[in-house]
Amino acid sequence: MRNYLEEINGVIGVTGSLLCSPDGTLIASVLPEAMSEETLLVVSRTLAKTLDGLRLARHRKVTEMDLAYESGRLVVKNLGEGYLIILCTPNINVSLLNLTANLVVKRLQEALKAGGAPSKRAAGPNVPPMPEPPPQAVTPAPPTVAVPAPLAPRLQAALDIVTAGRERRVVLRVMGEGAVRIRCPSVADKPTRPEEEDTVQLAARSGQQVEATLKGMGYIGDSRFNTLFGSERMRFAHPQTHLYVEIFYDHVASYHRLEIGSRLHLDDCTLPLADLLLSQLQNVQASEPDFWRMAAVLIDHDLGGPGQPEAIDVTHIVTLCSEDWGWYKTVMMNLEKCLEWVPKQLPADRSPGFQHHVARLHEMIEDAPKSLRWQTRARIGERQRWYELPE
Amino acid sequence: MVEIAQILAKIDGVGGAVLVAEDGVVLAHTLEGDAEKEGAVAAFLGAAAAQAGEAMKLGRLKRVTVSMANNHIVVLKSKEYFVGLLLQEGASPALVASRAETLLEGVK
Repeated sequence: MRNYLEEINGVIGVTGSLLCSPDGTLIASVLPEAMSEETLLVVSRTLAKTLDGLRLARHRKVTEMDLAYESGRLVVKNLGEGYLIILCTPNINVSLLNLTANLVVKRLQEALKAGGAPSKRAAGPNVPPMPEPPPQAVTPAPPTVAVPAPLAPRLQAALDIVTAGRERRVVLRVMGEGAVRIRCPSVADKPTRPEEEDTVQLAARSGQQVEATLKGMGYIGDSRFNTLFGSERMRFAHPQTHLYVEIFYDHVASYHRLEIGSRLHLDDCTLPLADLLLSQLQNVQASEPDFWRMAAVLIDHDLGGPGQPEAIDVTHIVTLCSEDWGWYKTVMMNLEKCLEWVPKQLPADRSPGFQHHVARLHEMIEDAPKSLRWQTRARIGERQRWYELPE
Repeated sequence: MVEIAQILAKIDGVGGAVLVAEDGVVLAHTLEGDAEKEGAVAAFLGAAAAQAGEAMKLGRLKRVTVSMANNHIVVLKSKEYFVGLLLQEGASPALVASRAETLLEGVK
């Protein structure tokens, strides 16, 4: 942990940093001047309690707090599993700081989630500090998504396509069932539909050289399908691996229309978690595999906001459901079904946080102010079908 | 007090302003929602920030900016009270804080 803090301390204007758990217990600190343990505990606990209090008061997670004083500045970043507190000079260039800090935040989040955060100090100021873990004990997470190993060949093939696209400056992201399996270890032993076993789905922006990228990898296009639907979707198959690849351009049209074109850059390999969850929650006729996927996303990832790739961006889901009654209706229906179904399948200790995440998401969607369009459609209710019937 | 709140609320990007004493009593506001609740948040934030700054000997508290999902709250310390500003979506907290500080300087 100290390595990460020292990296942040290298930014001009940063004079020190410390890391604490959600309850304010110190995990690590690198401060140039000798500050007493009690002082650090007062600061970390005060700020942790403040952030928690705000979360309760506003029903929203605080992502960052910036405290400016006459002779210094404290920038606090919420890591989900703890807080990073950065002590700076009053005139720090915060944009410059964020360039480094946001990268370190990602790695710290991974390290904390992996359980690599033994407390440097125990709960009280009088308890002797625990030994600092050796630097090599913490494996810095790569700046991309955490991919469980070993991956099924078809999922590895999907990531190879993403990489090949990146080399050609073509933005491709894994989506659908494959993406959930890449991002959510909880779904690893859960059933796959037979038709999904040799297929992967990827999202792309229209007007890119997707076809050339795939052909360059040996894939052959389904010329009839691509001629008919090529502006929205394309299909390819690999003659050796017999893997089918389906490309969705800019949106996914199923029971509901999910716009994804502008969201591809938010994650390195897959669609953002919020979109992965929405693509499962939109299924009006969801069955067991769909519920497992919804559950896996909600078990394996915290609720969060924009700029937190390892958390579910709740604001995106809440905004969509507050604008469109149809989305609201289906998402709420599936969250409720999920909340009923999952506890029957999994003991609570194998689904930590699930019930809390579902209840919070449900509450936030319900509480959010709704658009006029939403309110108008809500008056009609279920008397009129609120979803499309997919082909 | 009401005038100060109204002036602050006219700053570009400010959705509402609340002036609150250190004990949480709302002195003035321009909020349409629950002013008591927003006032309590501003006082709570201001007091916590002052406590953290005092512990680290960082001097007088000037302001606190809190970023949540897609909105921001700015709390400024002025005289004996805190000023809470609820920002509109997309507003720059730095710009709003700077303008509000200038306005509050003029009030002194």
